[in-house]
Amino acid sequence: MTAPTLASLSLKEIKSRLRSSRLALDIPPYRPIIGCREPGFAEALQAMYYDYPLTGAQGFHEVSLEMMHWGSVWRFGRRQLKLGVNGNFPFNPLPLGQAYPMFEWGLNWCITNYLHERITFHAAGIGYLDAENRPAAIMLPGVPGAGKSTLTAAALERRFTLLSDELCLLSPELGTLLPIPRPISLKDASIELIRARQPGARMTSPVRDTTKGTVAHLQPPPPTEIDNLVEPVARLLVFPRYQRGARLACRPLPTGQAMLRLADQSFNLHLHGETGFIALVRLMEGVRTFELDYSDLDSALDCLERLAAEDPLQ
Amino acid sequence: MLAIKTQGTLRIHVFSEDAVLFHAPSGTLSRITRPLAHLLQGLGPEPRSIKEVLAVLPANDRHAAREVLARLVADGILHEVEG
Repeated sequence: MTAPTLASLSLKEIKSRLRSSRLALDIPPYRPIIGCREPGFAEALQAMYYDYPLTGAQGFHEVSLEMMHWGSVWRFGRRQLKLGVNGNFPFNPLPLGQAYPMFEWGLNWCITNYLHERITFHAAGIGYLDAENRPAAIMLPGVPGAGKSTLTAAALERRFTLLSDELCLLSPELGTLLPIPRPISLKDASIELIRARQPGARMTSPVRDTTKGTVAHLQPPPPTEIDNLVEPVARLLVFPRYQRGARLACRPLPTGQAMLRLADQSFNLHLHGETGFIALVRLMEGVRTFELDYSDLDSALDCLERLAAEDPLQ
Repeated sequence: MLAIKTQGTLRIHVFSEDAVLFHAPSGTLSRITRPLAHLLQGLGPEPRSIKEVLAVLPANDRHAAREVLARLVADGILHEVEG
């Protein structure tokens, strides 16, 4: 029997559950229980996670996330929000109005700090089926500003599926990547760029003056049973770099050099020791590695499609 | 005469164009050349003279390799002894 989704609740019921910190959703890899009284948060959550399954508030939840007011008007002249994660407060408070980005950042923080059975990389991941219908993936590691999320959002217009816009989770035993499709975080000029390309897509209202600039989230494709069950193997490792006005350039990278650059983007490779090294070598033996400089999204996507089609394993 | 030996386990993997070295005790991950990888694969806990070790490399590579070995000694991945 299919579990009810957030769509089965009215906005009034969503707000009620959030006020009493008992709204529980299935958002891979977790089933967080969520609390927030901030105006606008319920609307944003409903828009982004409309098709995601509800879980019972009484069951086991790996994480609880609660956005709550902090500070007093009289002491600091303003109130702020702080994020409680399982009763702890790992972040500095943020201005009111940033509850939704805070929630998404909080989920990311939980993954990078708790999910150590996987090797976690700061990389976007997009999936595709190869010529033999086997699930495959392109990893797109990079520092903030490289254009990973924008490229990922645009890739969904083509044949690619969403693994994640932010984190790739490698199984050291199986060598596969866990799909964790969630709202795609867009920043600054990328917001209007993607809105123009995808006029029918749902986005949260832009939140200004965050530590990452102006931020909005793009609704992900609805999760399906297939998304959650099938873990692809990475076949391509592409380091994107957006540069305004740059000509498209796609250069092969020596594998060892790419391995070190990927290792630099890992949150927890050091915890896995020799097992992690072996897992990373096995990953690198199975991928082709490139640097991709681009300024035009469609040209970059054409390049990614071409690389996927050229897979020597096909 | 100086000799070198490994300090703890070295894991080396050679790719088609380059190679990587992993030193488990320190967690150090380095990129190295293929010739140097083959050289280091010949090292173990017993000291070997540096001169003998470098002799297997092309002459043009020995200077750079000596510098890499010095760095690996400084990082505690290799140990330099009187041999």
